[in-house]
Amino acid sequence: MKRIISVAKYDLKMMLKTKEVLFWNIAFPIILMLLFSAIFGGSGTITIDIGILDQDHSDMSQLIIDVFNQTNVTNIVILKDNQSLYDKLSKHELDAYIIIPRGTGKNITTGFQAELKVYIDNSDPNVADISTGIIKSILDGFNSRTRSMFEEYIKNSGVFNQTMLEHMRAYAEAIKAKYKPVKGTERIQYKEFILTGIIGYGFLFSSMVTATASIVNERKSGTLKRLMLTPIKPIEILLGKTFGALFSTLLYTFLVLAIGIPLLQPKIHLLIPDLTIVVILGSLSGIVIGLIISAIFRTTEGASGFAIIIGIFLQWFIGIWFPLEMLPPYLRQLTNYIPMAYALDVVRAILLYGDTILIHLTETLYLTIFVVILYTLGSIVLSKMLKTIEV
Amino acid sequence: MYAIETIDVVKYYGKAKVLDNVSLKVYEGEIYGLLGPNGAGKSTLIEIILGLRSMDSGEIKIFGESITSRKFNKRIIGYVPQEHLLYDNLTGLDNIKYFAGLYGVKSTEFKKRLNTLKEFLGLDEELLKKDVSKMSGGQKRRIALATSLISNPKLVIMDEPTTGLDPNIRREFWHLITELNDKGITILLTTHYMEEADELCDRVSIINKGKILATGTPQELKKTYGGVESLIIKMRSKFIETAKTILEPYTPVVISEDSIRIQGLTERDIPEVRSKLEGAGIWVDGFEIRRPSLDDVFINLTGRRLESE
Ligand SMILES: Nc1ncnc2c1ncn2[C@@H]1O[C@H](COP(=O)(O)OP(=O)(O)OP(=O)(O)O)[C@@H](O)[C@H]1O
Ligand SMILES: [Mg+2]
Repeated sequence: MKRIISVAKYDLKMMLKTKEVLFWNIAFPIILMLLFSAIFGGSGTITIDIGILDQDHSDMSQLIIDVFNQTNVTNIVILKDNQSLYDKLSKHELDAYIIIPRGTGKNITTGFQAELKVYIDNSDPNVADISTGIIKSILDGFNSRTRSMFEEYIKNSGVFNQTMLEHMRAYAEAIKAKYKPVKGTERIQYKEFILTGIIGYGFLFSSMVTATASIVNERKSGTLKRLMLTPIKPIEILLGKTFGALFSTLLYTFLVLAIGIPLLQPKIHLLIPDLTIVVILGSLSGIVIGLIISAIFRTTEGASGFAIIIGIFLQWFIGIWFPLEMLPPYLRQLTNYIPMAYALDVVRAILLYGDTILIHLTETLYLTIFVVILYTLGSIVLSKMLKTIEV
Repeated sequence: MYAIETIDVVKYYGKAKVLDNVSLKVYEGEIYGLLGPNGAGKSTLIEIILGLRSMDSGEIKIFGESITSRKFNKRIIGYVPQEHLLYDNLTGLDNIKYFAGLYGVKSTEFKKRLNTLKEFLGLDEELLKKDVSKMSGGQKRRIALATSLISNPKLVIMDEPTTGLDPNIRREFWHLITELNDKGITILLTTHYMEEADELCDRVSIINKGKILATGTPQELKKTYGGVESLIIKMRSKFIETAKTILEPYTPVVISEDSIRIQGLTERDIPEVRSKLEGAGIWVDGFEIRRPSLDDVFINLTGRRLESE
């Protein structure tokens, strides 16, 4: 145990004394986080995102959609079906949802009042008020235009009877809307997304790349030779290096939170014990991959180069910068095989929704199994490397 | 029992045979030198002895125990590698502590040993607090020595312990190594400095192209392979050509722009040589008798000089 602690302690000490490591593994991601949240998280001019589900498919329903499209304060997403509406609704992806029911077009053209269903996402009451106001004013505009068009028509025709009076009343408000607030958890903003994502960055760089480097540097500098002459066993080297990188990742994680929380003021749930467990698992899966990389490459350049490339590549596939749902399906498939993606998913669920680890038992179990299997493999590969590669 | 015994060690790098049936025996308590030029195979041999490299055939025993045996205890060996000796961005003290930790030295014992080493190696607090990357070559080596002595080894193996150090510091190291040896520690070192082998080592093996060419005390080697004494005659360079012609019967060799060497002549021959030269108007600046050195041994064994540096 003493030997493992020695390796971990001095590995960490070396890391913390290397300026490049501090910059790339800690300062750089934190800067990116602040930069990205400043660029994409801005709340400058308000546009609201409205999902429209057209069940009517008539010229009139298309006209309604066009009207919404023409204003520059709304951003329209056409929803295919009920399912996609409920998906987005439950994830609070949009600000409001409008359903144009079947028969809307017919009602309007035959002089009956049409009724739209409008769901307002109430996660942020301020945004909900604005959304309601905007939709109301757009519909009012639509109604007053149809009314004046019809009055014009009546005047010109010179005809006036009972039926027309009925129509008249209807056209006074051609479209009525029923507003329903949708209650739910807070809608995630980009700053919260990126703050949690940046924690996942640590699984790749503070964990994986660092672990590779910790062996590679010793191979390169020849200190591994000296290590091999002490009574240390390969498994102790593996564990010592693991604890060094793990501790640096935990340090990184809490530093990200300590800097990110006051600066970004995100709405998050700080369930520290649950978070720590998942971060440990995510970090261990990165570390063990890193250690295996350091052992299977014959050249030290090959190993560290590969680890860095994998790190740069994987950051797009574990959900650091954008939600994985945005990936095309075939790439989305790929992320199912990356343990760090699971870990980051659970980290987000904990921080953003206040989930406990028990809710995500399957992912946690999967991660644990992955870590155990890879460590077994890693200790075999590493001791083989230490015996066969002439260090 | 020998401290180290290698029996017919053969090592190939690819097709190149870098160690050719190397057999040597290091007695307990001696300072043993492996003298050879760059690329002779010294480091390779040492790393094989330490179990850091595989060999193609042969056997190695340390204090009677084969290094491949389960009973072999590597704690008894201290190793000071040729280069890249330490963790560069840790301080000297952290390096020593780290290795103490790896050897499982208890902290009370560590303090005792560290104090002894501080005194022995002249390590002051300031040096110990410095990062290794900011140390001079000599300082680094003292720290490296400290890291390998912290485990109290019985045998210390040093690969070119003084290469790159300036002459004064080199002598300090010789002194340190001798003192270490006086404490009963067996020492195997490699070097390509013939004075180092000559002055420091009890016994020396000359190694070239992976072969041990000769083994013995420096005196024995010089006596057996060093050849005869020679007379060096110094004069101004403008006289050299004429002097060479006059001394032709003695087969003189011009060894620098102002000196000539004649093998086999001794002090008794000086008056005769002097009168011959002065007869031709050549004024001699000085005579010197050169006894055979390990350099001569090397030349006689290999046909070429053992280049320094
Ligand atoms: N890893 C290696 N792979 C292939 N050849 C090697 C390797 N290491 C050393 N050699 C070659 O083996 C020969 C012996 O090298 P070695 O380092 O043992 O010599 P040395 O006597 O220690 O030299 P030096 O005084 O320069 O340290 C050299 O020709 C060298 O080029
Ligand atoms: Mg060498």
